[in-house]
Amino acid sequence: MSIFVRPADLSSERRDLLDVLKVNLPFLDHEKRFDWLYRANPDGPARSWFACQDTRDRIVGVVSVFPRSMWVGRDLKNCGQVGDFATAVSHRSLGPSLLMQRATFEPVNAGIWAFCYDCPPHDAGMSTFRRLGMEANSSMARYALPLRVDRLLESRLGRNWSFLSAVGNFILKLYVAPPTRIQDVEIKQHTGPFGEEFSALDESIKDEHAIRGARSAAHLNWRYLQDPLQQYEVLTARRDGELLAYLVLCIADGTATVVDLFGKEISTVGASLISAVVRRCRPSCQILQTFLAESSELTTLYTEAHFRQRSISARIVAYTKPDSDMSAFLRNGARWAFAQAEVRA
Amino acid sequence: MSQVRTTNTQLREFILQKFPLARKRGVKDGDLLLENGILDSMGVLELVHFIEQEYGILVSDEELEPDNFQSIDKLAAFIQTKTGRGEQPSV
Repeated sequence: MSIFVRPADLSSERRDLLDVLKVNLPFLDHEKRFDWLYRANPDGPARSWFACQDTRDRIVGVVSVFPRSMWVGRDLKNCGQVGDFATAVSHRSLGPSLLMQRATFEPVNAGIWAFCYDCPPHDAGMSTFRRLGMEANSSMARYALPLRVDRLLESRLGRNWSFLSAVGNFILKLYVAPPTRIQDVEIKQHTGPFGEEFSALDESIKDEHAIRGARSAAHLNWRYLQDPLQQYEVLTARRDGELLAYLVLCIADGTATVVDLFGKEISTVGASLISAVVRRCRPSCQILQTFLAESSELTTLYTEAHFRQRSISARIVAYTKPDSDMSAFLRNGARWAFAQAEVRA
Repeated sequence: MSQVRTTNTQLREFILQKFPLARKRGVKDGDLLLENGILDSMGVLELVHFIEQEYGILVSDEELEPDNFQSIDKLAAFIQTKTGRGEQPSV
């Protein structure tokens, strides 16, 4: 048996790629999201590789890297996010996965991307990295704020205990932080395309030690308006019309997720946005959650709003070209300012 | 009384000890470990560590191919090829 890895052609081998994904990652509608995710990304089309056994057309695994512009300190860099990593059950002996993981390093070694990163959600996803001697650079934690107890009580006690739900919901309402409003800041729902003011906001916020995804208008329009699988709501905070910050929310099955919170004066304006999103979600959502890198400066903001850390949701593992500037940047205490926005592929 | 344990027995004991699905379903020497979901990539990593420690061999990346990890029989054959022996005396 001979296993080898080769680049996949997104046009002529689209069907093969979708077939491998459908079988091995069945929880996503790959058909529906393919063109959007693999081709329409404003940062460039995905690069994909197949693991094959013996012949080119016997495909036993696939991995893709989705280009992503990232702020690395004060510089904008082309990077790649590894995703849709799928290996046939019969071939999960680590060898094929190692070959595919190494393939994702090639564009980095060739200088096309400053680095690539993967966000394995569980231990099994770390196995190839452990074999390669790589450790996680950071981890993502889930923070949650319970808003209602209806569903919890219904699942435990049945439908005849609605008075208990009312009591529970009232207690939760008392428990959360009091509303935070800033006199001269207006919080509003944002509808329609993201304009150039969002790009300007992105460029105005630089931290020489941080790594975060770029948030250009083009990226936001693609990510949040054109996503064929998810719908998002956006709240903006403005002073005299000037965009200060925004929050992106995704609601699914009673769970609201703050996908992103970004902007200026974040310790005050961010608190105001969180307060607004709690008010928005309380009537209909059971829980409000967000995902933050362990070194995120937003952690304090959420914990002050009574969110509590629940679990580690993913690790961040980055590959850089050995002895490169990027590699030195990571070694010298880089801060991963990641939210769900950087992790969702 | 000294007891000779075969490589298969040692591997089976390790797999039963480490992997809950193997304990639940039981595992025979010819059972497909990967396809039955008894081993995943993390399990392979643990198994490789065990094999390297127990038999004093190094498993290269190229040897992490599905054929070698398909079943206890296949694993034992792989170890025997690497070590040039079939049985391991135990104390």
